[in-house]
Amino acid sequence: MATDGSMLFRRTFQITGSDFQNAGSVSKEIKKTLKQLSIDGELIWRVMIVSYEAEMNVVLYAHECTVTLEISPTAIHLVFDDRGPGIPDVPLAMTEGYSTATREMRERGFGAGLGLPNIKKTCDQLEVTSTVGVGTKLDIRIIIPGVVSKAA
Amino acid sequence: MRLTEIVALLAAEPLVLDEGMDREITSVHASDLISEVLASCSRGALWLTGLLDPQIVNTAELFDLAAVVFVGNRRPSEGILALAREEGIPIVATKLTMFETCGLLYTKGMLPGTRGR
Repeated sequence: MATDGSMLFRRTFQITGSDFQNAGSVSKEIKKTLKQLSIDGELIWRVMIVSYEAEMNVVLYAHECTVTLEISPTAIHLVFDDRGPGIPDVPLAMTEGYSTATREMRERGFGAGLGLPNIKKTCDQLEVTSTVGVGTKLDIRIIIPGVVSKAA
Repeated sequence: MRLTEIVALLAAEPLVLDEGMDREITSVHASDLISEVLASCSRGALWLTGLLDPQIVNTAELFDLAAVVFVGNRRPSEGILALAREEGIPIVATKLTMFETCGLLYTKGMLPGTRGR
């Protein structure tokens, strides 16, 4: 986690696996927070793509997840650290169209195998680390454009 | 097109309305896959779908979509409508099929609600 002295905001959230009732609620909270901080709408929209994809991945596949949102003057940093089955082959999971979704997931409109590739496409920096049987961690950074970092 | 005009064009039933009814809509995304909407739908698009799931409303709200049209004579549950009222997402339902709905909107000059187009 960054120890940037210019951190404006930091908050953590919890997601529970298979909880379809509350699926999307963490992304909604993040959206509300970004709006309150007067972050640009187009940027919020990009953050929502990333956070909703990641949140649905947890609901669909994992047991539980801690989400950390950090906002600095130059970037939005999201970490999804889950306890779950893990991803045996990360590069394969990053391939568009590859999916291990069940029929039920597909009936709910998910599981097209677009999630991780879409996160990668939408954010500025993505790091995926995963251990089978333990969990997966997504470290995501979105640069806030047009802001030049002031020298400390 | 305004949503009120779209409702008339599709002989649709407006189920949830909000103050955004007069907003101009220029693009349409037709899909039953939420994954696909996340991967390719542009902001402010009208979403046509036959998928009846509360997650439709959450998705529309999170991604700033203009409204949701349920096609093929499908009735969303009261739970879906209540969520849409809470989130301020306009919902309409039409008896027309996905094909007919797309066709009518296309003839009116609506554009694909797809990113990068």
